[in-house]
Amino acid sequence: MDNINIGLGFRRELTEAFLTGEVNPDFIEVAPENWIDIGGYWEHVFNKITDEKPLILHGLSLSIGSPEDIDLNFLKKIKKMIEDYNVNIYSEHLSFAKFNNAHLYDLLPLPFRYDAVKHIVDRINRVQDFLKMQITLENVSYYTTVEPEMTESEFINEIVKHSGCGLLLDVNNVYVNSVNHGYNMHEFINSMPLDSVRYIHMAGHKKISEDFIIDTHGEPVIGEVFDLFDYTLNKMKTNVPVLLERDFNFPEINELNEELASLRKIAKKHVAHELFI
Amino acid sequence: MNYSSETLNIISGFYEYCKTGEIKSAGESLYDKEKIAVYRDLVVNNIKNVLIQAYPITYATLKDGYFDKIVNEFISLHFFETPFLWKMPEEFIDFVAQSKYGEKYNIPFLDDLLLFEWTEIEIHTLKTTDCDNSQSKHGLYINRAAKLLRLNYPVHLFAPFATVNKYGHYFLLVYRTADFDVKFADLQILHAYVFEKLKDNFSVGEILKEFSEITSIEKTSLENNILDFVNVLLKEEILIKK
Ligand SMILES: [Fe+2]
Repeated sequence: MDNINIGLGFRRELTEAFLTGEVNPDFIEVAPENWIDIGGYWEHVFNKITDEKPLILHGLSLSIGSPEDIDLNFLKKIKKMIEDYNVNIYSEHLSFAKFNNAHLYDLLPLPFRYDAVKHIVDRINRVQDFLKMQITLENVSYYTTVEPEMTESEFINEIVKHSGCGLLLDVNNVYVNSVNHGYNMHEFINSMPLDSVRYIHMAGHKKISEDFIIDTHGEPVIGEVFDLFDYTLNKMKTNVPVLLERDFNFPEINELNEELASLRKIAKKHVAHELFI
Repeated sequence: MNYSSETLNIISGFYEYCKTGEIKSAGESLYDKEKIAVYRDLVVNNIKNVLIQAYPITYATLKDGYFDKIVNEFISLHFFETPFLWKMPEEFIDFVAQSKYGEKYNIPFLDDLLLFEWTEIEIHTLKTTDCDNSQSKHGLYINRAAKLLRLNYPVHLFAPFATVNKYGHYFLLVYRTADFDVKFADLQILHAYVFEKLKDNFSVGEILKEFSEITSIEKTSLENNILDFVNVLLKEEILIKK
């Protein structure tokens, strides 16, 4: 066993391919919000698929950057799902999605400011205490910053350092942000707290213009993002699960399988490298 | 809360803009308008698409941009409570009813149509695995994934605009079969009454007795009618033997 874990997001459109084994990732990822309180046919399918595959959760509605208190009723449901399905990684986004408890169902960017770090660290601690586990937060793609006092990299480092949360490093988001905000993607990766990375995301995006990309999860992963993934693994000391994110505009199953195989090939290279050093 | 009032203003201004499309005058200079518009579009399209998926008939029926207009007001004005996006369309029903869009835009069946469409989703996704049927007194219980709707417009029988002149009392039973299909049955008022009684845990005998007390006419045919209905419920597994 080489300990390589390459996963695929489970979407309803892929049910058939999952049930027949046409796609056969090592684990699956879902947004808990899309499955909590769901009964009937979809509960039946979900249980069938999660019977066979380990599950990683990638939440949408925790809204770690909101000013209000953590919604404990919501978190109770997350906790139950973590327990029911033996989940080891509950990941979320370094963003906010609601304000004064009113949701907007989208990942809105946080201002890179000192008081925001302090506020978010407190909230992460509350969530981790409640769940009695480390949570893992993702670097999100963002299109604009408002009145920043530090860089994105400093913001992430401070939060990880002071909260002890894990980092979900989305390599495509690093690429997207480096183009949109004109920074060097390799330097960004070098500056990340790589020892705290618990999980990696890989995805496609949509190029609007030379200096503007939107993170869509609806296109294949591009070569430069595969290269950045390779570069990142080379810098990391441990092996973590890697997910291919594809949320819509689904291609033929063999194209998804090829992308999974490419990820596996790169990951394998680094495991071999680790064994020899 | 550790946010300074300045940071809180940045966050609330951003949120308000995404929700309403309007920047508060104080924040005018803070935001890159072209870039924040991307977020506003993502928010609107996401919510709108989920509503279109939940309410395909309503979407196809509302002409002249009424759907867009109502959805935009919904996003701007509504306080979205559920953290589960798939449940969000349920909040749309109350918002539309309270805002009286049916009256305002002369679409009298609108509230019923939304309820009809949402109930299909509700029954399809209803969680029954952790239901407790132990309090059933008579060895019979109603399938948990069965619900009786009272409608004023028969949107389950006719194309929506064809119901405008058919105001009345309609009873629609929506239920899920063992293989997860959602089915609909238009009920007469007597059967709707019997269904509700069974759901309230009355036995068939008790229901028949009640009718024998309130009416003396055509007792046998009434009893037969009720018993036939109970048999249909059993056959369709809407009524289940413990
Ligand atoms: Fe991601």
